[in-house]
Formats: sequence, C-alpha cells, structure tokens
Amino acid sequence: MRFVGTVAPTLRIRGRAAEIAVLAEALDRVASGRSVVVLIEGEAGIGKTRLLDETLHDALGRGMQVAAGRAEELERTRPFGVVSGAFGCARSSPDPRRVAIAELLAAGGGGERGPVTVTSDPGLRFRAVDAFTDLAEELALSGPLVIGVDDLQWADPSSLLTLAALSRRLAYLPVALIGCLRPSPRGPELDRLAGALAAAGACHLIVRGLAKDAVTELVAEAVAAVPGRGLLAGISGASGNPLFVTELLAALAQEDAIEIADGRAEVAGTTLPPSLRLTIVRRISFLPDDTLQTLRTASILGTSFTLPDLVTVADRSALELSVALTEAVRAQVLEDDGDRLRFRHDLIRDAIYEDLPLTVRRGLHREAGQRLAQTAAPSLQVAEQLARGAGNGDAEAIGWLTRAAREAAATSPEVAADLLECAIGLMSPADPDRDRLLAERARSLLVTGRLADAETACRSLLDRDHDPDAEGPARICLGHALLAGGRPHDALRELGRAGESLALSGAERASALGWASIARTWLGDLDGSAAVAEQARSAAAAAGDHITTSIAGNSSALVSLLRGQLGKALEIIDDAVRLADQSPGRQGYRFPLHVARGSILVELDELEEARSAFDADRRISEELGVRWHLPAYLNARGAERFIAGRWDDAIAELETSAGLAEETGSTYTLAYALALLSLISLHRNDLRRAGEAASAAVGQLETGARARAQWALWARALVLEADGKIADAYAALAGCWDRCAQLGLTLEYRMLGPDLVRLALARGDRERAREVAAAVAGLADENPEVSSLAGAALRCRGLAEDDAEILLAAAAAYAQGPRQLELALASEDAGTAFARQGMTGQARPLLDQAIEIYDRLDAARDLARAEAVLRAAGIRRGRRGTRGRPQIGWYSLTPTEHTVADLVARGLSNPRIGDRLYISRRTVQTHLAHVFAKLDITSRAQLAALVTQHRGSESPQGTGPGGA
Amino acid sequence: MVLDRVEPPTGLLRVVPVAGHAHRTGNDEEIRFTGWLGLLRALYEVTGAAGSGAAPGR
Repeated sequence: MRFVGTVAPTLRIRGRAAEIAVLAEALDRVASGRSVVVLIEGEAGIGKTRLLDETLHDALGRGMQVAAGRAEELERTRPFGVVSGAFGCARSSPDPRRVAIAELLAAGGGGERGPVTVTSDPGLRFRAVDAFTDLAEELALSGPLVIGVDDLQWADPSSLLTLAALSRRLAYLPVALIGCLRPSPRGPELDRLAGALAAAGACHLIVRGLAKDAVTELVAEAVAAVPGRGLLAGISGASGNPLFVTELLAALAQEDAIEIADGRAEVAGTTLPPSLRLTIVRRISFLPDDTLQTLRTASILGTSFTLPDLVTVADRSALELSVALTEAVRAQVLEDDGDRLRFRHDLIRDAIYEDLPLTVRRGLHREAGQRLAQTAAPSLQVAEQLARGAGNGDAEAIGWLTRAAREAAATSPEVAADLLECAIGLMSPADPDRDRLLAERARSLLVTGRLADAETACRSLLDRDHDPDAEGPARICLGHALLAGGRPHDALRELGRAGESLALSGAERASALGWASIARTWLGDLDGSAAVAEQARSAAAAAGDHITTSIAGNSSALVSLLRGQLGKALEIIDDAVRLADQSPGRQGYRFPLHVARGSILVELDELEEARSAFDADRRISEELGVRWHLPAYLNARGAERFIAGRWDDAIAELETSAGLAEETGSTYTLAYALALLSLISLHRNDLRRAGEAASAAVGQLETGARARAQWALWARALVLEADGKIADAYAALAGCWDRCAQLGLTLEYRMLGPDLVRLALARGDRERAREVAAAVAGLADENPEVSSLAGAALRCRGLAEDDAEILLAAAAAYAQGPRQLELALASEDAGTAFARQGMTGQARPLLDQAIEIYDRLDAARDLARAEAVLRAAGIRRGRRGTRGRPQIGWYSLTPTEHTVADLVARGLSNPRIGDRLYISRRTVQTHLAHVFAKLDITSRAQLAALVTQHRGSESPQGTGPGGA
Repeated sequence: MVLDRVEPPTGLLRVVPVAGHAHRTGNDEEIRFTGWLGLLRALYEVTGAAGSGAAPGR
C-alpha cells in the first residue's frame, strides 16, 4: 500500500476530441488561405484555456504566426490592453510597426488632457483600431496568422472593438480569430463583438463538463492507478470540470488521503470539500505562512502581476519575496511566464482573494493604490486599486479616477465614461466637482456613440439644481447628442441656452455658436445659419478656437452652396481652408473642410479638383487622426463617382459609407447614401433594391433632419413613377420642390427640376412645368460658369415647351461638363422630341449617344426606354455597345475591381491598395467583398491564382507575370 | 469557535484544555483567524494536523 503525495503536474488533455477536431479544422482552413472565427465558451475551469493553448501550439507547429493575448479582470480599463499584449505592441519591440502602435497609444493616454469632444479627437480610437488591423493584415499577407484571445469577458472595450474590426476586415485572408469566454459576465461591448463574430460566420464551440470516462482517465493518470468507486464518487461532485477535478485530487494528495492498494486508488478517511473554492483554499492552506501571505497580497493585484509591482505593494524586497514565490510556483499556484507571475487559474486567485473579508480587501487595495502612486505606475492601475479600496467621499480615489479617465478618453471613451461613473459614485451629492464630472461623463458617452445615454445624463443634470459651471458644457453636450441624433431643432434650443450660460468660457461659447450654425443649416434656416456662423467666427477668433473657425467657415460656405451661389461658396470655403492651413498644428482641419470644398467643386462640375480635395482630406485626416466624419467623406466621394458616371465605384463608396454610418451611429449622411444607391438601382432596373433603398432613405428622415434629405424624397418619387404611380410620384416630387423653394434650397433645383417638369406634363400641369423651368433658369443665370446648370435649365424649358431644338442645346451644354447621366437623359429627350416630329436624321445620333452612355452605366432601364423610342420611330441603331457585363465570373468585375484584384495578387495590403487608388481601406474592402462574391471564392490566395491564370490567358505571348 | 462573520469566516478559536487530551500550553488559548485559510491554519495549529508554525494573518 502507498499514499499518493502529489498528482501528475501536467495532465494530458482528455475527452475533448470533438473540440480539438473543430479547432484543427479551423487551422486547416487558415492553412488553405481562408479566414475563420471560433468562439470557445464555457464555465471557468472547464478547459477553454487548455484548448486554446493546444490550438496555438498546433499552429506554431504548422509554422503559422501566433498572436496570443489574455484579458484580465483588473485590466478592463486599460485601453487596447488585450490586443496590445497579443500583438506585442511595446516600445521595446524590435518591430517598428509595433513600436508605432505603442507610441500611438501612449500619445493618446499621456499627460493631463481636457475632456474630448466630438470636434477634438475621438478619432484616435479609430486610428488605433486601424493600426491594429493594418498590422494584422500585413502579418497575414506574409503567412497564416492565428489570433487567440483568452477570457474575452474581461477584455477592455477598445480591444473588443478591434477584434470586431479584425473579424470584418480580415475576411478572405488566412487569419484565425479564436476567442474564449465565460457565459458571464457579458457586457454590451462583448455582446456587440459576439454579434459581429456571428455575422462573420463564427463557429461557436460550447465546452461542457468532461464525460465520466474522460474523468476516470484523468484521475487514473493523476494518481497513476485505477481509480476506485469511492474516489470517483467523490470526484463526481466536480461535474466533469477538469480544474475542479485536478484541484480536488491535489488537495486529497496533499492530505495523503488517496490510498493505493493492488493498483487501485481510493479515498480514505476524509471529507471532500463542497465547492471548488474551498477545495482550492484547502489545498493551499498547507503552504508555508510566508507564501500564503504573499499570495494574499498578490491576489490584490489581479490574476497576473509583475515582481516590481508586488515588491511595491508588499513593501518587501524581491529577495525576501523570492522564497515565497518559488514555493507558490512549485505548488502550482503561480506560474512564471518570464515577464509576469500569474495565478495558474483565475479561480485560484479568486479563491484566495474572496477569502479575505471585504474590509481587509478594501484596506489592501487602498494601500496598494497609495504605494503604486508613489512609483511611476500608470494612473489607471493606481485608480483601479484606489477605487476598489475607496469609501464614499474618498477624494484621493476620486482624483485618480478622474485623472485616469481623462488619459483614457482619447483612445477609449467607454473606459473614460466607466471611470468617471466610478468617481461620481464615490462623490457625495454635495461635492462641488460632481456636476462638472457628470457633464464630462456625458461627453464621453456622446463620443462612444451612446447618444441616448448622453442625452439622459445631461438632462438628469440639467433638470435639477446644478452647478452653474456645469450648465454650459452639459447643454453643449446635449446639443451635440441631439444634433448627432438628427434632432437639430431640439439641439438648437439647447445650444442657445448654453450660450446664455454666464459661466461659459470663450471657446465653449464659440463652440455652441458654431454647432448652432450647423443645426440651422440642417433645419434649412439658411439666413439664421449664416448669421450665427458669423457670430461663431468672431467668438472663435477671440478665443483662438481654430476648430470653431473652421465650423463657422464651413457653415457659411454650405449656406451659399444650398442657396445656389456656387462661386461664393467656393470663395468662403477657400478662405476657411487658408485659415486652417495657418492654424497651429493645422488644428483647423479637425473639422473636415476639404470634404465641403470637394462637394462644392462637384456642384461646379470641377470633378478632378473635387477628387483632389477629397484626397487632401484623406491625407490630412490620416495625419491628424480625424475619423468621425468618415461616413460623410465616403458619401461625398460616392456622390462624385455617381455624377462622373463611375457607378460601380460609387456603389463601393456608398455601401462603405452606409455600413460605417450604421457601425458608428453617425447617420447624418446615411439618407443621402441610400438615396444615391436607390437611384443607381433604379436606373439599372433593379426596382426591388431601388425601392428598399429609397424606403430606408426616407425612413432616415423620419428620425430627424439629414444631409441632402431631398435626394431621398426624389429617389422615392422616381421609384413610385417606375411602379406606374404617376400621380403619387408627382405629388411627392412637387412637395419636395415646394419645401426646397420655401427654404431657399435652390441648389436642389438642378436635380429635381427636369423630373418634376416631366411629371407635371404627364399630369397635365403645364403651369407648374413652366414655373419649375423658370426657377432652374434663375439658378443657371446666377452661375453662368457652370455649363451643366445651363443644361438643366434648357432641358426643363425644352421639355416644358416641347421644343426639340432647345433640348438639343441642353444636350450640348451638358456635353461641355462631366455629368454623364444628365447628358444621356438630355440627349434622349432631344432625340425623342425629334423622333416625334419625324426628324429621324436628327433623332438618331442623339439617341445613339444616350444609348451608348446608358450602356456604359449599365443603366438597363434607361437603355430599354431609349431603344423603345428608336424602334417606335423605325430607326435602326447605328452602333451597338457591349450590352453590359455578366453578373458573375471574371468578366463581371468592374475596372476598379480588376485593379484591386491585381494589387491583391501582388501581395499589397488594403491600406496600400487604398493609397495607390486614392480610396479608403474600407472602400478597398467593399470592392474586395464584391470581387469575392462575383468569383465565388473565399481567400486572397484563390484570387491571386485566378489573376495569374487570367493574366496568362490574356497575354498570348506569355509575357505577363502569369505567362511563360 | 466564535464567528464575527460567516462568509468568509472571521472570528476566534478558543482552545480549552480537556483532561486526557494533550494540549500545547495546558492553558486556555484564543487564536484569531480571518477567512477559510486562517480558520484551517488555526485548526492545524490546534490539532497539529498539518502545516507548520503559526498562521499569520489568520
């Protein structure tokens, strides 16, 4: 007979054949160049970490790159902590890309900073997310990459955001994203990630307790004997949880309670503990006193800790601690991974930590915080410790929490909001700083896109007696939230009241005025907007507020643009750009002036210059880290591509814009994007999609004011017309026109006018047709340098008077500019008018021209209509185009998609492709998604092979890269 | 055993000498403890069952 004194330290993984097979298959998939996402879910101690470790080990064995990270409960407030750890982004890294990310995060979190606002730099978070996805993409382009993250339930919000972005943007690359999580806790950020991963086709692996046979094998291996019935019965209380089983065995072994006789192990003379926690406590209770005390202190620092931190907190030397720590490692309570010491499992740390009475824990946390504060420890770490040890009114903890929140605000506003909430929770209601912090927290909520929460936070402060100093910031924040939520009317009221606050600083007053001018523009109050923008400009100049100076310039320019004074709009925006150029650090560009400038140039038909403006915005925004306007930027680019007749490129930009708007909650331009997508679908005769997009666009208007709202109404009217509901279409478009006329939105006459004239004539309303034609002529007269406005005016007049010669002049005017669809429509109108008069000689070239353009645009609906005119007039078509591309396969790719595919085949990453093509990396991703769907492939490797194959077949001499 | 709190247990263990049973000092003795770890350590000390020396922080 013998007693078991210890159990085998590292037991083989048991009873997980099915799970291992799933994970091995995931690696096979990555090895073949495809992406895969796996979520491993199960209770603590169930073996998730072992499965992940085995998989990562397998990946390394296959020569794959591995990025492994683990979240920790006490580091939930460290922005990007988990992904930084996984990718090894430290300043000491030998890889300059990783150092750059570490620098970026340090820059965001360093020093005393004021609270961020939507106009300062909430974009740093997006910049960091982009930096991580760029790095992961570059790694994946060089070979399969496996990203494994353990304990997602403790991950910081920014890391979760990054992982969601990785799952979206690394599709089609050889990347495996494997995450482990417990069923609880489950915050909203983790829910969002789980949703994003599910959308990316994640495999959800639920890990349950081991089967009886597997437990028996595990026990047999641990005790090196056949387990007897009594021992197995006792172990069955562990419900197949491998950690519980091994801890029970270890505790029993330590007490010499496992007896082996005749090769059979039995439990003898002891009662098994009722819970895993008590099992762990019982096991470690046999450790030396010094080790126990050290473990208790260490548990205050979390699941893992550095030796210097423990030295600080325990107030003992490393030498003194080394004996105790060595013993803890020997007893398998701690593990040493070289950089940090780590409790072998969260539950072991929890058992020790929770065994401390609450008052003792708090005292230890407080002491730890105070000691760490004496060193160069990060504010977040100090704040976290002090907060856990704080009682009501603890000024020291409140101070550190506030400081940590301000440091975190730029990279992780969610964390800032949480830390401020914690600080506020500690304050007494009478604390003089409480209302200021409440306003600051509301602003953090606003920046994270939690508009409703920000609004509630502001209102609950403003609706009671409050600190007058908090009045202005809270009202401005409320105004922002309402404006971003599409409620400019309510926003204006709050911004106005903010302006009345006596305690407002000069910069705050300027900001309130600046945003009020934007709200007025959205409401169509152009006169009011211009006046307030002027006040904002003066206030901003006095306060040295360069961002508000840009906002004011932008508002004034937009007012002129919407009034149809295009030259004046350009002058104003050029002035604003000059000022932004001269502002220190180009702060003025934190408001994206070049997007407005590009949009004005589009209206002036200066498309090439507009594209340069958009590209300038892309470069400057990248440099300054401004991201919040990305949906509007992409939308503006999409609109330019639409006007230029590059509709496939327009679709890619607009779909990217719409996706990003929904992702970020910045939906101000979503209606415009959807309207443009609806129009393209309509012209391409996809009425179902056109109707859906138009309805969605109009639906956006119901939630508040939106940019270029009239385009949504215009699209809906044209969809109604396509459905044969002419009266409804006319009523809808006439209503839209009247609203524009009432508000002075003269610019929109250009697009609405010709269709309204057509519909008015179809309904027999000649007077309306003449009125509209006159109004468009007025717009053209005010802008004689814009030939397409002359074209619009002539087209309206030609239609109203049924005059083929005037319509011919309209087509000629359009031909001087870049507007392809409008040129085709005017040519068709002129050709139709001539054909009606039997003048087929004049009609034919015009209709041919229209058909050629429609062909190029893939505008099947227009094409069919124009051909019907030809047939009715008995005219044979002179030239025939290619009649559109096929829907799927290699030849369905658009020119841009071909270029993107080619660059992918050359091994370029999305950001580098974006740089080459002057488009955003997100638009590259949209193009790629289209390419993969059309070619029915799932990896970049497959795409590269196809490109090579087609290069070979398209270069008969075999001189291409895929040739001889 | 006198408990100030139940979970985790905090209190004191009063050791009373009983005739016929060995006791370290032969006098009444009180051992304070905090947590299950402290309690176990206190019991080990009294019974001499396991561990070594006094349990600090109990």
